[in-house]
Amino acid sequence: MNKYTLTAVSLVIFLNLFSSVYFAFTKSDASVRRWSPLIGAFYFVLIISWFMTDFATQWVLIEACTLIGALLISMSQNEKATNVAWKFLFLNSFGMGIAFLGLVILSYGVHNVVSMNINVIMQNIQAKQNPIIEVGIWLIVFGYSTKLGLFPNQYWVSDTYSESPSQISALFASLIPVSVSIALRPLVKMDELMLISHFSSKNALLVMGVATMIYSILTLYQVRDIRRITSLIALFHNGAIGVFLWLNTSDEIFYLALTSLVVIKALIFASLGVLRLDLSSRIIDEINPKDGLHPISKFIYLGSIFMAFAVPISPMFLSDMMAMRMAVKHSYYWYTLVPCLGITFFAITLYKILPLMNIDSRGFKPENIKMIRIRIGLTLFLFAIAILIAAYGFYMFSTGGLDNA
Amino acid sequence: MIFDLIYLLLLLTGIIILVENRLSRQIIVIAVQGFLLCGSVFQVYHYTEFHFWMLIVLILAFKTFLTPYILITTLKRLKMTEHTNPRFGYFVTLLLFIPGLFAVLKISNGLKELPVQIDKVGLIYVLLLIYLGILTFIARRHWVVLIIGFVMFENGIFLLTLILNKGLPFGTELIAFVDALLVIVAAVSLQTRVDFYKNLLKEKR
Repeated sequence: MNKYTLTAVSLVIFLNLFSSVYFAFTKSDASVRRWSPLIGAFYFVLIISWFMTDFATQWVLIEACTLIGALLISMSQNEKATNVAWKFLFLNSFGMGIAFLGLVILSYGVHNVVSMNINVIMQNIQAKQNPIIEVGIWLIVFGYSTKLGLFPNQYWVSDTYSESPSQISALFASLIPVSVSIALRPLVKMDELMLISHFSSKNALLVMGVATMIYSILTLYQVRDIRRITSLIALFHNGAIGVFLWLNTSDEIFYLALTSLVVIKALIFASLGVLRLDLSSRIIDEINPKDGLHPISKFIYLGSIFMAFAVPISPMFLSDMMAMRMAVKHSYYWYTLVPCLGITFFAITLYKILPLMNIDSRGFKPENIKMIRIRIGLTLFLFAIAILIAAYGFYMFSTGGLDNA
Repeated sequence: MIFDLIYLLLLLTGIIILVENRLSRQIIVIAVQGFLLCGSVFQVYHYTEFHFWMLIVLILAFKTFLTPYILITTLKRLKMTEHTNPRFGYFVTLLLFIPGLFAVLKISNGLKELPVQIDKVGLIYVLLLIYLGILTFIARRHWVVLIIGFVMFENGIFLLTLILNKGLPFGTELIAFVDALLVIVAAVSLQTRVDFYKNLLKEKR
């Protein structure tokens, strides 16, 4: 697994989600054709940012996705979504502003010649240890953590994912955390190179990650809205990314985890899109069992939740296993806390969504039948990709790959 | 000496924005602050350099003219009430400035020699301007003032980039300016839409 595999899988996922927007969009009366270039721009801007070797250009591209993203959220065309778009735009822009401030300070602290080239900064960092560099890295990590949605800047995440069209949420949840992770990875390495560190930003990332996971669990317990439950799953995974970044795994495991993340996040929001189209209300307690729900809608959603956490055929399971293995190898036994938090979150999620199983089975609503069939087809395709990635990962693992040494 | 005065004026405009209660005055002050940014360009570049003229054009176009123009036009179009007040009251808001001042003094003490001929006091003013931008974002409620706080924060970062790193490559600078303006345009249009949907809901009721 490498950056190119990740890009290829992301392209497939993007095409899948784009098809869903283009052929099966129901959230508002918005002209999808008019919005299509923005969706494409959102994807390309983030993909290009993965290949940048210059901090400033990478920052500009990630910031551009904030702008495009805010417009895409408002595609729902209602007051709530527009308010959420405003919140998304402003919190993220400020976070990105802080990250840029950190970049300026870091590049000043590191070298004599003006450069924001990641490799140049990395080469010089050991020779120029000073508190300015520490402050710079800390600000960048904190700024980017806003974009990742880590505690204490997590407030935009569940609002954004629950009020945007499900395809847009899928696009956000799968691509934004991956892009930020790629941007944060060199900073974690830089932090490790600091010999004397007053406040390690790498450890801050770990603390923010764990706090985000705990916050998601506590919030999930009080939520009854199916969209918000799904958003909290995404938020929980974002917290897990913070912890995973702290581990600083090898490239192979890192890109396996990111590829898994792209597929699984797209899958859970795509299955939510199927469920919501067939469900009478988004608040689980308010659904009358007599309203009915098609069994496929139920099982696709439930299946995706299992894929996001526990099923051994899921790439998420494989990534967790690899991370756990690495943690044990380095004697980080406390890392068992992460799967424990995952199991707790999964148990609460099941407790929240299992009432869906009590809803009487019926056929699809005739007015949605075409849209829902398209969405189911596309979601099943995502299931297939997820299983293929897991199978490939297990094959690699069994044949000595994925850092088996 | 003249440059120190410019940095001081930049800081003062920031303080005015933090505690001012009239929206239109805040917009005028942010335009003045944008204009004052030109001063630091004179300090870092020579007027014979291409980068000098490009930066002056960018500052005048984006910071002095376009941003305030968009905000003033929105103010008039939405017929907004002019009066706005801080979240925690005027005195407390001003008091919040003090911890920032101490933090900035501590940070600047640890700084090595600056790359351009800038006095350390100038750097302190710039760091305080960034702090004021963040403070405005936290301490004010009205969405127009939040945008103004964001602009002030961006102005501070621009100045810091200029004095610490002698700016960025021109392409990146241009994109950053355009990006900041687009964020403002998007923010304004989103808030205008919120008003539109609110009115629509009222009419339906």
